[in-house]
Amino acid sequence: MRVRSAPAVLVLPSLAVVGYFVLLPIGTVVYHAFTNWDPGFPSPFDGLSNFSGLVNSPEFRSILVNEAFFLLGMPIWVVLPILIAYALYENVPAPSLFRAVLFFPSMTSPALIGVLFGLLLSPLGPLSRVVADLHLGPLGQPWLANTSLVKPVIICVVAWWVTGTGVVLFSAALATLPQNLLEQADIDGAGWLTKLRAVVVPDIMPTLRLWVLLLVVIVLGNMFPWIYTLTRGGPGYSSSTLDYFIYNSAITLGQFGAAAAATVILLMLLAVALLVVYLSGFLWRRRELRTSR
Amino acid sequence: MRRAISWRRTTLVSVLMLPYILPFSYLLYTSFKSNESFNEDPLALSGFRGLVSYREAWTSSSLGPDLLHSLLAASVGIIVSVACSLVAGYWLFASAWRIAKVLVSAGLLVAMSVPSTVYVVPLFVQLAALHLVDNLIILGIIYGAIGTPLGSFLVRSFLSQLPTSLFDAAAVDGVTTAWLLRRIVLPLTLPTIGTVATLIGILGMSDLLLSSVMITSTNNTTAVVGVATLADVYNSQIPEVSAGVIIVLVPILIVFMVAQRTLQRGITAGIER
Repeated sequence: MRVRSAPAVLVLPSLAVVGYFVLLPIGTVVYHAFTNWDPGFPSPFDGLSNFSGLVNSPEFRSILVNEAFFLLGMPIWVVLPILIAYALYENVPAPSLFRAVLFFPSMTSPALIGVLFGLLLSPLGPLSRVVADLHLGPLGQPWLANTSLVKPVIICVVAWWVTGTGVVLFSAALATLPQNLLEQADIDGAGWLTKLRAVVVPDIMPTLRLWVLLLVVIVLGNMFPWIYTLTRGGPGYSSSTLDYFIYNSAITLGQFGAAAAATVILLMLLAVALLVVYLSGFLWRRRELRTSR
Repeated sequence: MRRAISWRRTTLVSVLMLPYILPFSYLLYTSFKSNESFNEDPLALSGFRGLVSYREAWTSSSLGPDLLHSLLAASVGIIVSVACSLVAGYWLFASAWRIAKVLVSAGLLVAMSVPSTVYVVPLFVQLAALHLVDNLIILGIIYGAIGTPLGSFLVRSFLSQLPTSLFDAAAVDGVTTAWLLRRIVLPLTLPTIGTVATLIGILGMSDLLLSSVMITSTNNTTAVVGVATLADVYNSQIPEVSAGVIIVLVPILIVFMVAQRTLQRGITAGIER
């Protein structure tokens, strides 16, 4: 017989705190996406006018384009950690030391890393100096002030930050890799790339899907500290993101209705991402079953 | 054969470390330079002025008090999330009330997967109406609320790995739930609780969005917001900005050194949830 004495009082503090500080505001913002939200004043129901306002605004449309662009960073953010985790998996001394060097930045605040890279990338900073000294002419740009360079640069900065977490995750996944498969591959004379493709990647697939989902959540909902410290969305709106737009509309400009509607769009995009990743896992498992039969 | 060290691979990985070591070295080095020598030549090995930039960042730019504000909010967050997730995790593990468990888990899961961007604005409005903004304790409770879902799930899954005989014996002895929580659940889940505490501590020390929205006066500025503001206003005094970044990085580095294993485990467990 298992003990079953757990009065519901125990869950009340969590329910109260999470409900009041997280779930209730989520409900509020979804409701107010459909009102002319003016905190402290009556907010009449307004149908879809917040949404049509967003769709007709060139700023918001360029933000959606930016989000799509940032998703292009995905291959880098996925491949780099897998390659490093795989490289550290064997034949390297003190892998945990290397892992720690990569992991530390991942654990520090994106805002601090943003400030650091703001210094490194500024026109007066060391990178510009090095580029000038080595006469790499066309590379000597004000990287964060150039409309076409700013997004790729931010992708690289995020890659720098996110790699450590990815390496830790994939290393944990690699630790359970079936040794006999790898040894068999060695005996068959497979190169590292073949082993990576045929043995490693299929085995870490569940972690890989989680990682992709996490990255989508970062791109859609957690870019704020990067954008705030590196560019403030500029030049123009060329590096602005959904979460920066939500912050800026509500907190800086007082356009709460627009912020609420953008939040609902953010939630819908997150739901789509969740669905796609979940479905892809489902399809993957079916394919696995078919090939193993 | 598997154990043999590949020097080519080791060199490659070591070179990969350079982009990680150089930026921090540059930061440290700049923080000791004087403004004039930095403006003249950022890379020249001269014109150092000791800890002046640190003193400026600590006092004139008030990063010292800001750091205390962050520590206060992070501590409150740790206390709230640890207390809540301990009892809620035990409830999720032991309660026989199925439907309630499913509903609570669903609520916690939603709260855990939604980024804070989604609720920061309505939460601000909600708290401003009650005059609860610009309050470090409230900010800490928000951090606690963010950590509670993950903490509850971690505690539950840890408890469900324990042998059930442990709890059966306690049931036979007819102990109270309070005794069980204090004498059995708390000591056994201490490593899990430690993971939750570390993660929330780091969140509290590194958060920009919530603290820049919820804290409205300069009397309560948190450290990260302080550094971001410093980088913005005194853009010409790079040595001071560098010193500021280091001042706020050091506490995180200390936590990292002490709890690196815990963090790696926590991140892995947290993401796999």
